[in-house]
Amino acid sequence: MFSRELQVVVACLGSRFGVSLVFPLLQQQLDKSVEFSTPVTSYRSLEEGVFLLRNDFPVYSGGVVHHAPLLVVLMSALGNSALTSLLYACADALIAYQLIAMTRCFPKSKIPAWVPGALYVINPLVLLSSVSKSSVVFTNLAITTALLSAMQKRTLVAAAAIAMAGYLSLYPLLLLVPIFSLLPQEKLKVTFICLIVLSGLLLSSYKINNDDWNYLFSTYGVISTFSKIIPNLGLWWYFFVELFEMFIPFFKAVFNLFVVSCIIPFSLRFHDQPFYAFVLCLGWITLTKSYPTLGDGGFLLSFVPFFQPLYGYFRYSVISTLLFIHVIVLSPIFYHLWVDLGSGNSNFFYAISLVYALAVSTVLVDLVWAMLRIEYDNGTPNLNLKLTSI
Amino acid sequence: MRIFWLISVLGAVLSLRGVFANDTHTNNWAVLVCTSRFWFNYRHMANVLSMYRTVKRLGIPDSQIILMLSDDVACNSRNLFPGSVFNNADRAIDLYGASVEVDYKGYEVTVENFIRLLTDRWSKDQPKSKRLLTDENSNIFIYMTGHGGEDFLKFQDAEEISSYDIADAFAQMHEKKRYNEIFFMIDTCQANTMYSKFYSPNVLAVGSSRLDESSYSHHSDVEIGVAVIDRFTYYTLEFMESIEKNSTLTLQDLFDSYTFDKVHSHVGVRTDLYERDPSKVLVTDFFGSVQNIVLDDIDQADNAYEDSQESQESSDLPDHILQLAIEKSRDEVTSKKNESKVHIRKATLVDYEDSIAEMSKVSHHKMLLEVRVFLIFMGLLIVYYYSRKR
Amino acid sequence: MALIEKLQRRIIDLGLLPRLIASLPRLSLVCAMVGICWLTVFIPMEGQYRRTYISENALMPSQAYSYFRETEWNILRGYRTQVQLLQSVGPHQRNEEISAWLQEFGVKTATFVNEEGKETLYGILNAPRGDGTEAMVLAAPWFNGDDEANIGGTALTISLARFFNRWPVWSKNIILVFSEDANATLRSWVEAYHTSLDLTGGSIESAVVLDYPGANDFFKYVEIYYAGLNGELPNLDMVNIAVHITEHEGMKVSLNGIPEEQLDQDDFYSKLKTLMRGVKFMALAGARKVYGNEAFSGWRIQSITLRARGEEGPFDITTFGRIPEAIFRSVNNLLEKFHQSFFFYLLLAPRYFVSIATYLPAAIALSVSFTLASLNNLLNNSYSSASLLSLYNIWGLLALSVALAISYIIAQLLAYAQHPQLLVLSSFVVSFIPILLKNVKIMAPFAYRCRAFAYLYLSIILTSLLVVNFALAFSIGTLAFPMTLVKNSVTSKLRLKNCLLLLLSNPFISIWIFGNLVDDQLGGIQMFYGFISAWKNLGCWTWFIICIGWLPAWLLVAYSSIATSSISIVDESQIEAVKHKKTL
Repeated sequence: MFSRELQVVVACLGSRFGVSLVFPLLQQQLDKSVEFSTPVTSYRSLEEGVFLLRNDFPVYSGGVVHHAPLLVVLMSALGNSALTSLLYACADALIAYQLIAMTRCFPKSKIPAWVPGALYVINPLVLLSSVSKSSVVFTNLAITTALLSAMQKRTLVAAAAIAMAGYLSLYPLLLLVPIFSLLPQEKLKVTFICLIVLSGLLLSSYKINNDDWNYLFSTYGVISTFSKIIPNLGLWWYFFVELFEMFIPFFKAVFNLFVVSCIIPFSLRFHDQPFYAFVLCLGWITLTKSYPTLGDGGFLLSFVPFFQPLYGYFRYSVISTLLFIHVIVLSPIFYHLWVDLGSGNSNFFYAISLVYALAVSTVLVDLVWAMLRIEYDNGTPNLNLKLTSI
Repeated sequence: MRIFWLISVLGAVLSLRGVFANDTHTNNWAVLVCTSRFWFNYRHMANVLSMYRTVKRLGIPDSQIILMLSDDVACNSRNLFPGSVFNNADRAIDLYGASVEVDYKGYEVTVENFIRLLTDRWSKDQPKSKRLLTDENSNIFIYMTGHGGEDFLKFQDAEEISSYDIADAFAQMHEKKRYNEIFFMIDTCQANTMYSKFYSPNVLAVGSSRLDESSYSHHSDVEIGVAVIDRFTYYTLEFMESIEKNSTLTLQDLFDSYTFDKVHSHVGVRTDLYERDPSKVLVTDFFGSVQNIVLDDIDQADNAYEDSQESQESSDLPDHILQLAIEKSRDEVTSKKNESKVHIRKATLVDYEDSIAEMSKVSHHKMLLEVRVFLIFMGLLIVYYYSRKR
Repeated sequence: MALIEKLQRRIIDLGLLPRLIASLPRLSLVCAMVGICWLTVFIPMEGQYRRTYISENALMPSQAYSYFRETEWNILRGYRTQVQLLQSVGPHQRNEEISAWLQEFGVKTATFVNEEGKETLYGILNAPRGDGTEAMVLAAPWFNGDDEANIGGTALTISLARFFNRWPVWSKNIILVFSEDANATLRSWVEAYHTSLDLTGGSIESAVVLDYPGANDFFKYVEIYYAGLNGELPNLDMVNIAVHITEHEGMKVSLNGIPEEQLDQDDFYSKLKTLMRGVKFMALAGARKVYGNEAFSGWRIQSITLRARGEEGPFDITTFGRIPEAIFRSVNNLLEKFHQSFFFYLLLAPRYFVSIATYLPAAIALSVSFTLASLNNLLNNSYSSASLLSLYNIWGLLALSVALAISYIIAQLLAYAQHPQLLVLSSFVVSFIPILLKNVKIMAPFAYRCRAFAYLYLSIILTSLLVVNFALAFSIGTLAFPMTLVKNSVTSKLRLKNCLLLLLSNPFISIWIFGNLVDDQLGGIQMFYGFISAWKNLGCWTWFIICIGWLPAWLLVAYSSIATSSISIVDESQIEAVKHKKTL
């Protein structure tokens, strides 16, 4: 009676909520681990913000809270932890539902609609990220909302959702560019609405923050200027250990430029496949952002099932799978070896974060190659033709 | 005409001779630097304190010694003889006695402070006791010890000074007329590289070992448990113990006392920038203090100059011309006697005794005199040249 | 880039890729052989190892003269006589007595009682001129690892404390520990020190455990033990200064329990022996007799145990006392924690070592051989072209999870209900599944998938253990390798072969055989008791790694060996595909 899709959504909700109920300590354990929690997304700093807000302290002057003000307010409105677990589980379930809805937008797709959602449910990275109550789940929700609405030609919602995603964490604002390809006639309208919504959000945050703009630096400033140099799975924190003082601003500018660099090229080149361009841009941001988590990687992987015609062209699927598995296994071990036991050093951990970057970039490269090949074959997959030796 | 040309050139050269080498220095300074910290670098501290004791014994007052010690081994809790520093296992002399004045201690010993000290570029609040208040009549003995390598010397385990830095500092000192002669002694590994980049005149340098050679420690004290003196410094001290204030031993004797069998490394001496012959330079010119200060007024000084000049010239005609020039300049000098205050350099704001101030005025006058003579001869040369052209 | 293109073209032209895929089982075997030979044959050869050196210049071992000599002998003898008298008295009274002695010369003492009611007496000598933020530990358990009364060690510790008290050179505090035994009691003290004790002396830099059983004045040679729990080793500098000081004082050093007659040998076999004993000690740390230094693992403390062996000999107990004295003088010189020298190394002799870069390829090769075996089971059969989401894959993954769950239950059960004989027996029975369950049919593709996942899982486990606990990774890799040779039980000969392979690669049977062959202490079932008690008392993870890492893979392989359909390496369609690729 219940359609497969509904089963999937319920399974998502149930699994997240169930895991957080059955393993209550898991959330704290994950929150402490470096792979799933960063200073800008961790639940502990969110709780800190809620506490400060409830007791009328200035939230952003302490240097601990880096979440957007509206999110802090939302969390403070919810009382106990069971409700917050439910909120996170619902957010995840909503994402799963939106993935299913996205599949339905492709009428010629050969995979049944419930499959991407089911894969999202069993994706361990996303599950753990959701259980750890990291706030990327809200950003991801905004991103999928934007994507879905853009595909359904609902301009208002798409623009508002992108503005929300950019408001919550800075870099998804760059996804506005592929949204332009998705809604080619309404670029101006999209920009306009996005700007209005964004300024509305910022102004309301300003009002909530006791008429103080200091939250801008604590949220977006920290993300773009790497103010908190804490080890994470990103590529950039390690540089700051070695740089001379005088070069630091230059390198900060370069790292930010790096994130922005490939967005427009991807969108322009794959103008005719805007959904794909969106996923590529999302992947690029995941690879180069300043405080990534494994949850981001998992979220990227949940978009791969959509490109079923491209499967035959993938060349590095085994390698990227092995890389991801090794990263998940080795990164906590090397962190433990470095920080707890003192026998290893930071190079061990940074090597693993480089492997993670390699894994994500292998996925991206594979996707790009596959799309270019299918363009060469004029849309009909011709798997027997080998253009290069491999 | 040709003879005239020859005479003018000869006269110019001979008159300039006096501008460079002024064998009469009037004060002695010592800069003694130990750049390494930690207990196991006890011997570097002992090296410097031994040299300190030597220069003090031979007459340089504390006010003219800058002692830089980067660590305090006397009061280190690992020191079996608290409050004492020994440079020999027989523990006959306690180097850290009652009258040790350390000017730069601990973390104040940095590359920046060392270079500022040499070039005297301080802010207004730097106390006089921590400044190198030398002038163009000062002979400076600079002794450095620590851990070094090719073209660098390690300061405090965190930074380095390169041989180029010291060379440039010396060049600044030369431009600012902050020294008469510098005797640079360095006892580190690959020490000779540190003086290889000097390019200022009147610098004599000696280093304890060549490129790719290490300098060795002499012996350890089994009670204290560390090496207490380095070989090069040990044999320097051995030589110095035979020096009294009135010794006539020369620097060449000191250099000859270093043999490979004793020091176990090749001691290098750099004399190409140094005007005088080391075999004619007394050790006490650098290690001791100038004892006989002759108070003098200007007339006597001029007579002495004239006498010395007369005794050295051989032929009559150039002699006659010189005499004319000298008489002319003497008239100028006497007429400007009342403006003598102008000639005191701005930098020498220390309370010198009047006699020394007089001496400096006199020497300054002499310099001006010689410069004028030189200019006259150059003018003659130019006149001759243009007359030839026409 | 052009070079890579050329290489690729050559590879395709030679048809290398299909050939590689076809020869994967052989490659896997070769990799495993390479891994094992790397450690056993290659490393002990001349030129592959390095001479040890003191990395941290500040240590300066033996530069200071050691004064713990004949002058202290009488005092030491006095304490020893008193300690012998205390043997007959209960622990509480004994600790009080010793506490009183220590307080006489200014040591602050306290007693810690752990959960099992065992007492540990400890005292802190504050450095008079130091800043008191760091400490060095001198420990002497009452009963050493061999359950002998550590009379000499205890007396030595007390007299050394009295001796140290008269020296003003300490920059770190000195902590004396007298625990009941070298095992759980000492470990619980270390944990309590870092969490709950009131009287503390700063963060502990290093620990020396003294083991001098008996009341004899003379001994022959010194054994040094350094292997910690969970593959942790002290900084190589710590071991090096201990070796340097011991040899400087004239004594001979034995590492890893090499008997005295073989101490002077310096050939390939002696190095191989020391190396393999070292690997064994690291893998079995906690299960074997615990000599005391293992108790300090995991807290960033560099710890070693010094054992004086022999009843008569040229060296007397004060000579032995000079070793900890000089070690303390050396560590005293440090300002920073041990960080210069290696933390991952293997010692081939007291003066020869190899670092991780040299020995790691051995374990990497073993891990790679498991991955190759997994790929073999994925690609070299007619079912390789099954899609990613096929039923077989999903069932394979499910089987893996089931195997994991079963292993976890077994691990926990045995941790509490300690009947290892039952375990070994049941493993024996399960290994004969191919014969017992002759008539049960499972589908061939399912079998291949199970095996592929099993090997991949084990390969990942080995990869994760590589750096942390090399010895365990190497041992598991070697002992579990026969598993990769299991094929579908098509003929009865194959069936028998599968049974044998399963027997050999079963975790418990394999360890049982290994223990009987290699170690005299841990013969038979003792090994299991050792592992389980190490898990419970010392926090050693080996038991769980064996159960959760090795056992699930074996269960899957055992299950898959029931399959009876044929193995077809090259199928008709595959030949077509290969031909097609070649023409392009």
